[in-house]
Amino acid sequence: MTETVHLINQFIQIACLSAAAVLAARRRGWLFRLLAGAFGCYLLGDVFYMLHIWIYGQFPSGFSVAYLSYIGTYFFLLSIDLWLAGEWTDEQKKALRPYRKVSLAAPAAVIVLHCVYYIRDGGFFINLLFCVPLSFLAYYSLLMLLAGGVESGLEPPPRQYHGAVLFYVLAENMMFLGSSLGSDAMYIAFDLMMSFTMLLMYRAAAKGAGAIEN
Amino acid sequence: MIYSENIFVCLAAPLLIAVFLLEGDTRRFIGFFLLGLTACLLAGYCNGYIEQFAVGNGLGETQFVIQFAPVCEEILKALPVFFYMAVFEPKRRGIVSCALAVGLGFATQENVGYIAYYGAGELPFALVRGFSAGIMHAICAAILGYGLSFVYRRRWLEITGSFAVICAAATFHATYNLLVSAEGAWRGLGYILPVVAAAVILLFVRQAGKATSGRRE
Repeated sequence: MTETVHLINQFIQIACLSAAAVLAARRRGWLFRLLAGAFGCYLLGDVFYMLHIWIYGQFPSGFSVAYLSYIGTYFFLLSIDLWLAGEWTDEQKKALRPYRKVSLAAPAAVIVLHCVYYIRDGGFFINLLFCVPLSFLAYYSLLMLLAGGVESGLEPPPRQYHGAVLFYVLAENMMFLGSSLGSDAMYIAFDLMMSFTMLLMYRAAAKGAGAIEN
Repeated sequence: MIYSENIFVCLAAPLLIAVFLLEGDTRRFIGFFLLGLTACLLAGYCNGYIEQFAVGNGLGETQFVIQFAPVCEEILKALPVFFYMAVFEPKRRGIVSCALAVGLGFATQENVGYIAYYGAGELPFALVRGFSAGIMHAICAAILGYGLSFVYRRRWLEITGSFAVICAAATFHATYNLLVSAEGAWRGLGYILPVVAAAVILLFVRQAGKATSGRRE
Protein backbone atom coordinates (compact mmCIF):
# COMPACT_ATOMS: atom_id res chain seq x y z
CA MET A 1 0.00 0.00 0.00
CA THR A 2 2.72 2.42 1.05
CA GLU A 3 4.66 1.59 -2.10
CA THR A 4 1.63 2.36 -4.28
CA VAL A 5 1.01 5.68 -2.52
CA HIS A 6 4.68 6.47 -2.92
CA LEU A 7 4.57 5.77 -6.66
CA ILE A 8 1.41 7.86 -7.09
CA ASN A 9 3.23 10.64 -5.25
CA GLN A 10 6.11 10.37 -7.69
CA PHE A 11 3.66 10.63 -10.61
CA ILE A 12 2.20 13.85 -9.17
CA GLN A 13 5.69 15.25 -8.79
CA ILE A 14 6.60 14.43 -12.37
CA ALA A 15 3.44 16.08 -13.68
CA CYS A 16 3.94 19.21 -11.52
CA LEU A 17 7.60 19.55 -12.28
CA SER A 18 7.22 18.98 -16.02
CA ALA A 19 4.68 21.78 -16.16
CA ALA A 20 6.92 24.07 -14.12
CA ALA A 21 9.98 23.26 -16.25
CA VAL A 22 8.11 24.02 -19.47
CA LEU A 23 6.90 27.36 -18.09
CA ALA A 24 10.36 28.16 -16.76
CA ALA A 25 12.00 27.44 -20.11
CA ARG A 26 9.57 29.73 -21.92
CA ARG A 27 10.33 32.73 -19.69
CA ARG A 28 14.08 32.66 -20.47
CA GLY A 29 16.42 34.81 -18.32
CA TRP A 30 19.07 33.46 -15.95
CA LEU A 31 16.74 32.91 -12.98
CA PHE A 32 14.32 30.69 -14.87
CA ARG A 33 17.08 28.80 -16.64
CA LEU A 34 18.63 27.90 -13.29
CA LEU A 35 15.19 27.09 -11.87
CA ALA A 36 14.45 24.91 -14.89
CA GLY A 37 17.76 23.17 -14.23
CA ALA A 38 16.79 22.57 -10.59
CA PHE A 39 13.34 21.25 -11.55
CA GLY A 40 14.85 19.14 -14.32
CA CYS A 41 17.35 17.57 -11.94
CA TYR A 42 14.62 16.77 -9.42
CA LEU A 43 12.47 15.27 -12.17
CA LEU A 44 15.37 13.15 -13.47
CA GLY A 45 16.04 11.86 -9.96
CA ASP A 46 12.40 10.92 -9.49
CA VAL A 47 12.18 9.24 -12.89
CA PHE A 48 15.29 7.20 -12.10
CA TYR A 49 13.93 6.30 -8.65
CA MET A 50 10.58 5.16 -10.06
CA LEU A 51 12.07 3.21 -12.94
CA HIS A 52 14.47 1.40 -10.65
CA ILE A 53 11.61 0.31 -8.40
CA TRP A 54 9.53 -0.81 -11.38
CA ILE A 55 12.32 -2.71 -13.10
CA TYR A 56 14.18 -4.23 -10.13
CA GLY A 57 11.42 -4.17 -7.52
CA GLN A 58 13.50 -2.22 -5.01
CA PHE A 59 15.65 0.84 -4.62
CA PRO A 60 19.41 0.20 -4.48
CA SER A 61 20.98 0.25 -1.05
CA GLY A 62 23.90 2.63 -0.58
CA PHE A 63 24.83 5.18 -3.23
CA SER A 64 22.41 5.90 -6.06
CA VAL A 65 22.48 8.26 -9.03
CA ALA A 66 19.05 9.53 -7.93
CA TYR A 67 20.76 11.06 -4.88
CA LEU A 68 23.21 12.76 -7.18
CA SER A 69 20.30 14.23 -9.09
CA TYR A 70 18.70 15.61 -5.92
CA ILE A 71 22.08 17.08 -4.96
CA GLY A 72 22.16 18.67 -8.43
CA THR A 73 18.86 20.36 -7.55
CA TYR A 74 20.45 21.93 -4.45
CA PHE A 75 23.42 23.10 -6.47
CA PHE A 76 21.13 24.76 -9.03
CA LEU A 77 19.20 26.49 -6.23
CA LEU A 78 22.47 27.49 -4.58
CA SER A 79 23.63 28.93 -7.91
CA ILE A 80 20.59 31.23 -7.93
CA ASP A 81 21.50 32.51 -4.46
CA LEU A 82 25.15 32.97 -5.43
CA TRP A 83 24.10 34.84 -8.56
CA LEU A 84 21.99 37.18 -6.44
CA ALA A 85 24.81 37.56 -3.90
CA GLY A 86 27.20 38.40 -6.74
CA GLU A 87 25.09 41.45 -7.56
CA TRP A 88 25.50 42.99 -4.11
CA THR A 89 27.56 46.15 -3.76
CA ASP A 90 30.10 46.62 -0.95
CA GLU A 91 27.63 48.82 0.96
CA GLN A 92 24.93 46.17 0.74
CA LYS A 93 27.40 43.55 1.93
CA LYS A 94 28.23 45.71 4.94
CA ALA A 95 24.56 46.14 5.75
CA LEU A 96 24.10 42.36 5.61
CA ARG A 97 26.72 41.69 8.31
CA PRO A 98 24.30 41.58 11.29
CA TYR A 99 22.22 38.95 9.49
CA ARG A 100 25.15 36.70 8.67
CA LYS A 101 25.68 35.38 12.21
CA VAL A 102 21.96 34.70 12.69
CA SER A 103 21.85 32.90 9.35
CA LEU A 104 24.51 30.46 10.50
CA ALA A 105 21.81 28.84 12.64
CA ALA A 106 20.29 27.24 9.52
CA PRO A 107 23.41 25.33 8.35
CA ALA A 108 24.15 24.42 11.98
CA ALA A 109 20.71 22.79 12.23
CA VAL A 110 21.26 20.93 8.95
CA ILE A 111 24.67 19.64 10.11
CA VAL A 112 23.27 18.50 13.48
CA LEU A 113 20.40 16.67 11.76
CA HIS A 114 22.78 14.92 9.36
CA CYS A 115 24.98 13.89 12.29
CA VAL A 116 21.87 12.33 13.84
CA TYR A 117 21.07 10.45 10.59
CA TYR A 118 24.66 9.24 10.42
CA ILE A 119 24.60 8.00 14.02
CA ARG A 120 21.25 6.26 13.52
CA ASP A 121 21.66 4.82 10.02
CA GLY A 122 25.34 5.13 9.02
CA GLY A 123 26.23 6.13 5.46
CA PHE A 124 28.89 8.76 6.06
CA PHE A 125 29.55 9.53 2.39
CA ILE A 126 25.89 9.95 1.41
CA ASN A 127 25.19 12.11 4.46
CA LEU A 128 28.18 14.29 3.60
CA LEU A 129 27.06 14.59 -0.02
CA PHE A 130 23.66 15.88 1.09
CA CYS A 131 24.86 17.90 4.05
CA VAL A 132 27.34 20.20 2.23
CA PRO A 133 25.05 21.74 -0.42
CA LEU A 134 22.03 21.74 1.91
CA SER A 135 24.01 23.68 4.56
CA PHE A 136 25.11 26.35 2.09
CA LEU A 137 21.62 26.55 0.62
CA ALA A 138 20.08 26.89 4.09
CA TYR A 139 22.56 29.64 4.99
CA TYR A 140 21.97 31.75 1.88
CA SER A 141 18.21 31.22 1.95
CA LEU A 142 17.91 32.36 5.56
CA LEU A 143 20.27 35.30 4.94
CA MET A 144 18.26 36.47 1.95
CA LEU A 145 14.96 35.81 3.69
CA LEU A 146 16.01 38.01 6.61
CA ALA A 147 17.71 40.73 4.63
CA GLY A 148 16.60 40.38 1.01
CA GLY A 149 14.68 43.31 -0.37
CA VAL A 150 15.76 45.58 2.46
CA GLU A 151 19.53 45.73 2.19
CA SER A 152 19.83 44.38 -1.32
CA GLY A 153 17.56 47.19 -2.53
CA LEU A 154 15.63 44.88 -4.83
CA GLU A 155 11.94 45.65 -5.16
CA PRO A 156 9.71 43.74 -4.93
CA PRO A 157 11.75 41.52 -2.60
CA PRO A 158 11.84 37.86 -3.65
CA ARG A 159 11.38 36.90 -0.02
CA GLN A 160 8.65 34.39 -0.75
CA TYR A 161 11.09 32.61 -3.02
CA HIS A 162 13.76 32.36 -0.32
CA GLY A 163 11.12 31.28 2.19
CA ALA A 164 10.04 28.52 -0.19
CA VAL A 165 13.66 27.38 -0.64
CA LEU A 166 14.17 27.33 3.11
CA PHE A 167 10.99 25.30 3.54
CA TYR A 168 12.23 22.96 0.82
CA VAL A 169 15.45 22.39 2.81
CA LEU A 170 13.38 21.79 5.95
CA ALA A 171 11.05 19.37 4.14
CA GLU A 172 14.04 17.48 2.74
CA ASN A 173 15.45 17.08 6.25
CA MET A 174 12.10 16.03 7.67
CA MET A 175 11.86 13.48 4.88
CA PHE A 176 15.23 12.08 5.91
CA LEU A 177 14.07 12.03 9.51
CA GLY A 178 10.94 10.14 8.49
CA SER A 179 13.10 7.62 6.68
CA SER A 180 15.44 7.36 9.67
CA LEU A 181 12.54 6.84 12.10
CA GLY A 182 10.96 4.32 9.75
CA SER A 183 7.83 6.44 9.36
CA ASP A 184 6.57 6.01 5.79
CA ALA A 185 3.70 8.45 6.33
CA MET A 186 6.10 11.22 7.37
CA TYR A 187 8.41 10.43 4.45
CA ILE A 188 5.59 10.53 1.89
CA ALA A 189 3.99 13.66 3.37
CA PHE A 190 7.21 15.67 3.20
CA ASP A 191 8.07 14.24 -0.21
CA LEU A 192 4.76 15.56 -1.50
CA MET A 193 5.32 18.89 0.26
CA MET A 194 8.67 19.26 -1.49
CA SER A 195 7.00 18.95 -4.89
CA PHE A 196 4.46 21.61 -4.09
CA THR A 197 7.18 23.81 -2.57
CA MET A 198 8.91 23.79 -5.94
CA LEU A 199 5.75 25.15 -7.53
CA LEU A 200 5.69 27.87 -4.85
CA MET A 201 9.31 28.66 -5.68
CA TYR A 202 8.40 29.11 -9.32
CA ARG A 203 5.43 31.32 -8.47
CA ALA A 204 7.47 33.49 -6.12
CA ALA A 205 10.34 33.73 -8.60
CA ALA A 206 7.94 34.78 -11.34
CA LYS A 207 6.62 37.52 -9.07
CA GLY A 208 10.04 38.94 -8.29
CA ALA A 209 11.55 38.20 -11.68
CA GLY A 210 11.00 41.65 -13.09
CA ALA A 211 13.03 43.14 -10.30
CA ILE A 212 15.88 40.70 -9.95
CA GLU A 213 16.54 39.90 -13.61
CA ASN A 214 18.69 42.28 -15.60
CA MET B 1 38.55 -8.87 -25.60
CA ILE B 2 38.32 -5.35 -27.04
CA TYR B 3 41.61 -3.79 -28.05
CA SER B 4 40.48 -0.26 -27.20
CA GLU B 5 43.96 1.20 -27.55
CA ASN B 6 44.29 -0.15 -31.10
CA ILE B 7 40.89 1.26 -32.02
CA PHE B 8 41.90 4.58 -30.47
CA VAL B 9 45.15 4.76 -32.45
CA CYS B 10 43.32 3.88 -35.65
CA LEU B 11 40.72 6.60 -35.13
CA ALA B 12 42.99 9.24 -33.64
CA ALA B 13 45.90 9.16 -36.13
CA PRO B 14 44.16 10.85 -39.09
CA LEU B 15 42.45 13.31 -36.77
CA LEU B 16 45.77 14.22 -35.20
CA ILE B 17 47.16 15.03 -38.64
CA ALA B 18 44.04 17.09 -39.37
CA VAL B 19 44.57 19.13 -36.18
CA PHE B 20 47.91 20.33 -37.56
CA LEU B 21 46.56 21.00 -41.04
CA LEU B 22 43.37 22.84 -40.16
CA GLU B 23 42.79 26.22 -38.53
CA GLY B 24 40.23 28.10 -36.45
CA ASP B 25 36.95 26.57 -35.31
CA THR B 26 37.38 23.39 -37.35
CA ARG B 27 40.77 22.69 -35.75
CA ARG B 28 39.27 23.27 -32.29
CA PHE B 29 36.36 20.95 -33.04
CA ILE B 30 38.63 18.17 -34.30
CA GLY B 31 40.95 18.69 -31.32
CA PHE B 32 38.14 18.28 -28.83
CA PHE B 33 36.72 15.35 -30.79
CA LEU B 34 40.14 13.76 -30.28
CA LEU B 35 39.95 14.53 -26.57
CA GLY B 36 36.52 12.85 -26.54
CA LEU B 37 38.09 9.67 -27.96
CA THR B 38 40.77 9.89 -25.26
CA ALA B 39 38.15 10.44 -22.54
CA CYS B 40 36.37 7.25 -23.67
CA LEU B 41 39.61 5.28 -23.54
CA LEU B 42 40.33 6.59 -20.03
CA ALA B 43 36.73 5.87 -18.98
CA GLY B 44 37.31 2.25 -19.99
CA TYR B 45 40.31 2.03 -17.65
CA CYS B 46 38.62 3.91 -14.79
CA ASN B 47 35.42 1.88 -15.08
CA GLY B 48 37.49 -1.30 -15.01
CA TYR B 49 39.21 -0.34 -11.76
CA ILE B 50 36.04 0.96 -10.08
CA GLU B 51 34.11 -2.11 -11.22
CA GLN B 52 36.67 -4.43 -9.61
CA PHE B 53 36.36 -2.49 -6.37
CA ALA B 54 32.56 -2.24 -6.49
CA VAL B 55 31.93 -5.86 -7.43
CA GLY B 56 34.43 -6.90 -4.75
CA ASN B 57 32.26 -5.03 -2.25
CA GLY B 58 29.13 -6.92 -3.20
CA LEU B 59 27.69 -4.67 -5.93
CA GLY B 60 26.40 -6.49 -9.02
CA GLU B 61 27.87 -5.77 -12.46
CA THR B 62 24.55 -4.42 -13.74
CA GLN B 63 24.22 -2.09 -10.77
CA PHE B 64 27.74 -0.85 -11.40
CA VAL B 65 26.86 -0.03 -15.02
CA ILE B 66 23.72 1.78 -13.87
CA GLN B 67 25.00 3.64 -10.80
CA PHE B 68 28.73 4.30 -11.19
CA ALA B 69 29.81 4.14 -14.84
CA PRO B 70 27.71 7.16 -15.92
CA VAL B 71 29.16 9.34 -13.16
CA CYS B 72 32.73 8.39 -14.08
CA GLU B 73 32.10 8.91 -17.82
CA GLU B 74 30.42 12.29 -17.41
CA ILE B 75 33.21 13.60 -15.18
CA LEU B 76 35.82 12.49 -17.72
CA LYS B 77 33.85 14.14 -20.54
CA ALA B 78 33.68 17.37 -18.55
CA LEU B 79 37.43 17.58 -17.86
CA PRO B 80 38.53 18.79 -21.34
CA VAL B 81 35.78 21.44 -21.25
CA PHE B 82 36.93 22.63 -17.80
CA PHE B 83 40.47 22.84 -19.12
CA TYR B 84 39.31 24.85 -22.13
CA MET B 85 37.33 27.23 -19.92
CA ALA B 86 40.19 27.72 -17.48
CA VAL B 87 43.02 28.21 -19.96
CA PHE B 88 41.56 29.78 -23.10
CA GLU B 89 38.78 31.98 -21.65
CA PRO B 90 36.49 31.19 -24.59
CA LYS B 91 33.18 32.67 -25.70
CA ARG B 92 29.98 30.92 -24.63
CA ARG B 93 29.32 29.39 -28.06
CA GLY B 94 32.83 27.97 -28.08
CA ILE B 95 32.15 26.08 -24.85
CA VAL B 96 29.00 24.47 -26.26
CA SER B 97 30.69 23.33 -29.48
CA CYS B 98 33.69 21.97 -27.54
CA ALA B 99 31.46 20.02 -25.15
CA LEU B 100 29.55 18.59 -28.14
CA ALA B 101 32.78 17.64 -29.88
CA VAL B 102 33.98 15.81 -26.76
CA GLY B 103 30.63 13.99 -26.48
CA LEU B 104 30.65 12.98 -30.15
CA GLY B 105 34.25 11.78 -29.89
CA PHE B 106 33.34 9.73 -26.83
CA ALA B 107 30.33 8.20 -28.61
CA THR B 108 32.41 7.37 -31.69
CA GLN B 109 35.12 5.51 -29.73
CA GLU B 110 32.48 3.66 -27.70
CA ASN B 111 30.43 2.69 -30.77
CA VAL B 112 33.45 1.47 -32.72
CA GLY B 113 34.49 -0.57 -29.67
CA TYR B 114 31.05 -2.20 -29.47
CA ILE B 115 30.97 -2.88 -33.21
CA ALA B 116 34.45 -4.43 -33.05
CA TYR B 117 33.36 -6.66 -30.16
CA TYR B 118 29.90 -7.74 -31.34
CA GLY B 119 30.53 -7.59 -35.10
CA ALA B 120 29.15 -5.24 -37.75
CA GLY B 121 26.97 -7.83 -39.49
CA GLU B 122 23.68 -6.77 -37.89
CA LEU B 123 22.21 -3.51 -39.19
CA PRO B 124 19.60 -3.23 -36.36
CA PHE B 125 22.40 -3.41 -33.78
CA ALA B 126 24.34 -0.68 -35.58
CA LEU B 127 21.20 1.47 -35.80
CA VAL B 128 20.50 1.01 -32.10
CA ARG B 129 24.09 1.91 -31.17
CA GLY B 130 24.10 4.95 -33.44
CA PHE B 131 20.67 6.35 -32.70
CA SER B 132 20.43 5.54 -28.99
CA ALA B 133 23.86 5.53 -27.31
CA GLY B 134 25.30 8.00 -29.83
CA ILE B 135 22.50 10.52 -29.36
CA MET B 136 22.50 9.92 -25.58
CA HIS B 137 26.17 10.97 -25.37
CA ALA B 138 25.46 14.00 -27.54
CA ILE B 139 22.57 15.02 -25.24
CA CYS B 140 24.73 14.64 -22.13
CA ALA B 141 27.40 16.74 -23.82
CA ALA B 142 24.81 19.36 -24.76
CA ILE B 143 23.57 19.52 -21.13
CA LEU B 144 27.17 19.96 -20.01
CA GLY B 145 28.02 22.53 -22.69
CA TYR B 146 24.95 24.73 -22.32
CA GLY B 147 25.10 24.52 -18.54
CA LEU B 148 28.78 25.36 -18.27
CA SER B 149 28.56 28.16 -20.83
CA PHE B 150 25.79 29.70 -18.75
CA VAL B 151 27.60 29.73 -15.40
CA TYR B 152 30.98 30.59 -16.92
CA ARG B 153 32.89 33.66 -15.67
CA ARG B 154 30.96 34.04 -12.44
CA ARG B 155 33.30 33.07 -9.63
CA TRP B 156 31.51 30.74 -7.18
CA LEU B 157 28.76 30.04 -9.65
CA GLU B 158 31.24 28.14 -11.83
CA ILE B 159 31.78 25.62 -9.04
CA THR B 160 28.16 25.06 -8.00
CA GLY B 161 26.91 25.23 -11.59
CA SER B 162 29.51 22.71 -12.77
CA PHE B 163 28.50 20.24 -10.06
CA ALA B 164 24.85 20.75 -10.94
CA VAL B 165 25.22 20.13 -14.68
CA ILE B 166 27.43 17.07 -14.13
CA CYS B 167 24.77 15.68 -11.78
CA ALA B 168 22.05 16.29 -14.40
CA ALA B 169 24.07 14.73 -17.24
CA ALA B 170 25.07 11.72 -15.11
CA THR B 171 21.46 11.05 -14.08
CA PHE B 172 20.22 11.20 -17.67
CA HIS B 173 23.00 8.81 -18.68
CA ALA B 174 22.19 6.51 -15.73
CA THR B 175 18.48 6.47 -16.64
CA TYR B 176 19.39 5.36 -20.16
CA ASN B 177 21.70 2.64 -18.80
CA LEU B 178 18.98 1.51 -16.37
CA LEU B 179 16.45 1.09 -19.18
CA VAL B 180 18.73 -0.63 -21.70
CA SER B 181 20.04 -3.03 -19.04
CA ALA B 182 16.47 -4.24 -18.42
CA GLU B 183 14.56 -6.73 -20.55
CA GLY B 184 11.66 -6.41 -22.98
CA ALA B 185 9.68 -3.20 -23.33
CA TRP B 186 11.91 -1.31 -20.89
CA ARG B 187 14.88 -1.85 -23.16
CA GLY B 188 12.88 -0.61 -26.14
CA LEU B 189 11.92 2.48 -24.16
CA GLY B 190 15.61 3.00 -23.37
CA TYR B 191 16.51 2.95 -27.06
CA ILE B 192 13.79 5.49 -27.85
CA LEU B 193 14.55 7.79 -24.87
CA PRO B 194 17.55 9.65 -26.40
CA VAL B 195 15.72 10.29 -29.67
CA VAL B 196 12.67 11.66 -27.83
CA ALA B 197 14.85 13.77 -25.55
CA ALA B 198 16.78 15.14 -28.54
CA ALA B 199 13.50 16.04 -30.26
CA VAL B 200 12.25 17.85 -27.13
CA ILE B 201 15.55 19.76 -26.76
CA LEU B 202 15.51 20.80 -30.44
CA LEU B 203 11.91 21.98 -30.04
CA PHE B 204 12.86 24.09 -27.01
CA VAL B 205 15.91 25.55 -28.73
CA ARG B 206 13.81 26.50 -31.78
CA GLN B 207 11.07 28.06 -29.64
CA ALA B 208 13.64 29.99 -27.62
CA GLY B 209 15.25 31.18 -30.84
CA LYS B 210 11.87 32.33 -32.15
CA ALA B 211 11.13 34.17 -28.89
CA THR B 212 14.51 35.95 -29.05
CA SER B 213 14.11 36.99 -32.70
CA GLY B 214 10.53 38.13 -31.95
CA ARG B 215 11.81 40.37 -29.15
CA ARG B 216 14.50 41.85 -31.43
CA GLU B 217 11.89 42.79 -34.05
